Amino acid sequence: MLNIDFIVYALLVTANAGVIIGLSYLLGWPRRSRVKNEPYESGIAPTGPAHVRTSIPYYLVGIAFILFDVEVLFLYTYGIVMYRLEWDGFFKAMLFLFFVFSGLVYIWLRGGLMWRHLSSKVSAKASSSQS
Amino acid sequence: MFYNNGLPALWLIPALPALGALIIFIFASRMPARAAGIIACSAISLSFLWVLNVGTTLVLGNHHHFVEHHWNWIAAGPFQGSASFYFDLVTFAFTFVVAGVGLLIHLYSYSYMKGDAGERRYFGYFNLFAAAMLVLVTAENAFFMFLGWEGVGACSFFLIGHWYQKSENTVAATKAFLVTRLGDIFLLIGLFLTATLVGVSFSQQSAWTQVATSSFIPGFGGLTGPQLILITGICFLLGAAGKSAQVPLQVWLPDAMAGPTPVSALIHAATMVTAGVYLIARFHILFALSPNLMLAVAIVGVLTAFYGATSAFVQTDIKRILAYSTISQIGYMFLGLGVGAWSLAVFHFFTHAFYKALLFMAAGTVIHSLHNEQNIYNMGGLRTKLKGTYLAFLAGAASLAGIPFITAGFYSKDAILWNTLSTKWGSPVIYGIAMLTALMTAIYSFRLIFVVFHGTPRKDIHVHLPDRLLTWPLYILAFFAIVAGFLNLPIVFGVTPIWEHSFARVFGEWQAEPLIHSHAVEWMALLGSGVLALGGAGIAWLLYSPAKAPMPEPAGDIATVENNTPAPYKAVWANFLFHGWKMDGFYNKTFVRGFRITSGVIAWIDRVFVDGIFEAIQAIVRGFHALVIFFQNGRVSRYAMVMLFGAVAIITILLIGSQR
Amino acid sequence: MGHYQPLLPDLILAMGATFILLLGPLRDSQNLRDFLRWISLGLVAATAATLVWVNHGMATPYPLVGEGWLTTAPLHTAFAVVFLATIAWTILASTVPDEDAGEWYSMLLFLGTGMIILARAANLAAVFLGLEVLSISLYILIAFRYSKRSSLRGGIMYLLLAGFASGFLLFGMALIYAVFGTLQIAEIRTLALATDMGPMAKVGFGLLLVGVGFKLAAVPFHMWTPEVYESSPGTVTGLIASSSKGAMLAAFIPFLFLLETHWSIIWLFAALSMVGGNLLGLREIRVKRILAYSSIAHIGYVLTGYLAGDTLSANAAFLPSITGVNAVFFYVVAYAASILGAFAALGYIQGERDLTLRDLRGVGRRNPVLAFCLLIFVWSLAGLPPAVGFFGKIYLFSAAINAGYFWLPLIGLLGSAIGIYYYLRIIVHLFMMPADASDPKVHASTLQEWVMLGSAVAVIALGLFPETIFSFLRAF
Repeated sequence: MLNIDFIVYALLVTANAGVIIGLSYLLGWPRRSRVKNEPYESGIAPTGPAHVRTSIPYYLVGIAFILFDVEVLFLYTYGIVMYRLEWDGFFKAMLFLFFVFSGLVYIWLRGGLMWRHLSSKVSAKASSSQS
Repeated sequence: MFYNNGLPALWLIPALPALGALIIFIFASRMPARAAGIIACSAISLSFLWVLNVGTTLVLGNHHHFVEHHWNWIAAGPFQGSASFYFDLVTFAFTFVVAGVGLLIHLYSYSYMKGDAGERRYFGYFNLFAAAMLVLVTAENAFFMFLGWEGVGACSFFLIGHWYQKSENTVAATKAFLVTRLGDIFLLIGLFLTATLVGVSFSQQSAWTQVATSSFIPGFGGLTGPQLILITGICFLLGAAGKSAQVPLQVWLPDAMAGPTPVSALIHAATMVTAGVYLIARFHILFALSPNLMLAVAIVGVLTAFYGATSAFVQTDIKRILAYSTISQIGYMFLGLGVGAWSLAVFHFFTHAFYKALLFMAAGTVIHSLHNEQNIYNMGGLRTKLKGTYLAFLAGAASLAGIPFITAGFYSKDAILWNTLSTKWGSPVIYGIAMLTALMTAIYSFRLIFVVFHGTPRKDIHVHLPDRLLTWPLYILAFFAIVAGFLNLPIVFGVTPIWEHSFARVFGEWQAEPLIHSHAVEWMALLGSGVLALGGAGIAWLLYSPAKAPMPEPAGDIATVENNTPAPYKAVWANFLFHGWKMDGFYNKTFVRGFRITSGVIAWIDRVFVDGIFEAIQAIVRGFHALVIFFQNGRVSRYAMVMLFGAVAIITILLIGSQR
Repeated sequence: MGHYQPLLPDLILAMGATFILLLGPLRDSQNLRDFLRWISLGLVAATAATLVWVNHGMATPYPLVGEGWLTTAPLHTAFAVVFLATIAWTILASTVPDEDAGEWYSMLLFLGTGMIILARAANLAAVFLGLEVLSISLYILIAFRYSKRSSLRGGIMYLLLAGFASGFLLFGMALIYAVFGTLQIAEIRTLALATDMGPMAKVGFGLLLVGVGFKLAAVPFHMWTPEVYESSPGTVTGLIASSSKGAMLAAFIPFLFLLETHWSIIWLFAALSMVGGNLLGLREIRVKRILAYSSIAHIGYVLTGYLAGDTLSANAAFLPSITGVNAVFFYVVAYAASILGAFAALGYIQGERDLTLRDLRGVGRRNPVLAFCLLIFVWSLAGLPPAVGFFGKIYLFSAAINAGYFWLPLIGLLGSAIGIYYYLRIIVHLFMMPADASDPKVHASTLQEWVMLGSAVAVIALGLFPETIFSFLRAF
């Protein structure tokens, strides 16, 4: 036994979408102009290239910041129920902090926080790949 | 490993030549050509020594047989084939010939094949053949024996086509293979019947007696025991006929002479072609239980003997004469089997192996000395030039003709003839044909001697002398061709026939006892066949003596009378015999043509319908492939889109489905 | 503190992985890399041992431990041990990029952590957690040779599409939670079987199936396979195909009650995958893609067995009679043994850009051991006796037939008949085609060759003694 309600509904939706797309295809015709190709029909007209060069160390540190920021957010929730969870909760929070802290240590060991070292390494790599 | 409970291990007998073949094939490209021959000869000689060791242990220890079980090879319901070995007196006789005569032919080949391009291949297959043949005769059950049976067939195919550059050689090899395969199919059916009825092991064969008395056997559609025995036996007989070149499957053997002469000597005279004799001797209980079966074997035997002798009578190619004589002699062995003289059939195999190998090898020496001349009418006068070979050939031919009292062939053949007359399965008619055949045998044997070795050379060919390896094996074989007969002197000489006496242990109650006990009659039969042999030699002298210089009357120019000339004779009957009773043409017209027509029809059906179906399937599959590969274009966006559609489809299916 | 004990395996593996991650950057030397390899192996072994020890004597049906997150059911534990074995195998067989050994082993261990969590999940959240730990490790492993464009491309593609699929999965879970009010799968099962399922629950499970289907690469969520398989390192490809999918299969076993309502979707997955996977591979010349398409087909076979469920039908006439999930377990083991080796072997062979069939020419002569192993693996994948893949298929199909499915095994048989074509093509190119002018480049260390040989022997041995796998299963 089929679910008649749904079938009718699905057919209506499909028909509706089909009719709209079909009508716009039939009635509208391609017209290109400078204004139409702009990214937004209203708003600020873009200036300069879209691909802006940003420093890679900046990105790295930014990503690291966001990561830790988000992870530390969990501690807020823990803070609210800290006393209710007692020692068990405390151990779990410590376990969580251990992993977060290990991440920090890892970034440190890999030199992810050494701004100058990073930029020189990146530029050296970039120049070697260009040659 | 080499001894089990103080008894010598049997597996070594086939394993040694197999090892030799393995070494030769693996290191073929890295060894000098001559080394292959040395390895092959060492392997077969070690095997021969081991056969002697095992055989003397058997005989001196007065054992009935040795059995050696290794592992289960095939185990499926009633088909219990194990890799086991069996060694009794029959095995001893066969292994002695295979390894012993094989050793001599190996040595002979070492000189004969010198400088041949395929020398390593030749010796590799030669050793492999010896291994397979030894498996055939030492196997404990019929399935393991079948392994060796097919192995020798394959090696025979390889060796007949040794000089594969000439197309007629490969045609001959293929013909031999196909015809024997036809027999093998029947053999297999026989084996399956045996396996279901009594089991394949040779020690189980006495159970046939129960089959013979039972009137109903479940699973065979109401066939009675005797009928099943008859069917099984006919299948075995046809299998044996294929391998041993008996009527009606004899046509392959003369063509098999395309191989190198030592191959003809070993495979197509001394050993492989006698596998049929071995088969029937092993299953003698089955055969002895049915008089009709015995009659069939005897008739096949005597017919073949007669056929071979008449055809050998007019051949011009020395090897073809010997080939037809082989067919004829194996016919005698079958005759011996058919009248229940099992041990004598084996005995005739034993003596025949010596003198036929000898004849072939001597012929090989002659051919070799005359630079591959095979037409006997282009020979002549070789008596003085090839003195040693002549003497050896004379001994062999005398033995073949059955010159009385001094040759082995006389004792073995005469014993079979006497049993044909005297035992319950024999008959005077068969005896008469066999005696006539004996006369013709003597005639064509001495025809060979007179035409090839006497008189003056007909063609001015330089004869180059054979070296020692080409002659000494001949002398050894000549010795055996003379004295091997003394192993079984007739009882009328007042001595015990050692051979028959010993083999009574194997064949026991199934051995046919003579119904005629009169010594006078036996003396007469003995002298009669002796007189026939001598008379045949005399007739040959009258017909073919050098003074007569009896050329055949050729249809064409004498110089063009080469091998396989279509019609060397003017006389129709001579041509009929020359072509082996025109059996080839008959088979071509009936079976081969019928097969071609049938396969043509089937090929058409296959091409149109079967191929059509598969091509349609292929087209459909390809079409679907094109359909699905269209979406696989490497773009994440499209992949995500397909996933989305998939999800929508799933939800739709779920929601459309019943509310239950 | 007693309830920490069952979590011990996961903790050991995760902390060990962190430890290795921190050890890696300390010094750049061969000694350290070797040390890391053996210590990772040790960690995996310790985890497996702990897993077995922890589960010992807890064999009540679906016991829930760790606050109801994980199950210690024997089948799931056995799955987890098998996945740990594949991780150990990969540690041995992989060629590590010189610089990043620490990350490599650490990510493999995290992958293992994700797998054993996913395989034993008893809770929707645990399913999601395990899946994400597994997937995130995989993103990194796929793009591990990040200096190569193609590798990065594969990683990004997988990241995007897996994220998309995770969205479906999460939404499905949210709907399920909204309907049933619990995350415990066992409780959901009781509730779902007790009442009729409303459209919302149906759609929820449907969306869950989308996520699962993506992870398993069942048609029509298979699109990512060729690119991702092609671009990741050989051993990682093997892991994606075998244990990452296997973990999802194991996680899906508690959802067997869905066969009541959603069998048609799984049936479609199976049928489409078996047909589609085998059709897609037909004219492909890039070897890893061929195996990628074949893996789609293999998931179809597995789902066929999955449909048979975990009970043996009373009229199971078709021998061998084995429950569906046991057959699935067998197949996961059999498939892992073959596909890991196959992809690792392909990883050792260097091609021009993508590894094509043409690059395989001459390998049979140049490195016969490797080629022989590859032959056995492909033989097993094609499902030819006596390799273990043959019995895997027999068990799956006979389970399906016993459960009353007839068309599906038939489709599977036809599909594998088509599939044999491209498997044989690999073998033909390996052994029967003359090599091009340049010799094929094969880089495999002695250890790797021995590992390959060992698993090739295992593939044949398990095929000769298939009962071994079931007795392994019974040991838990």
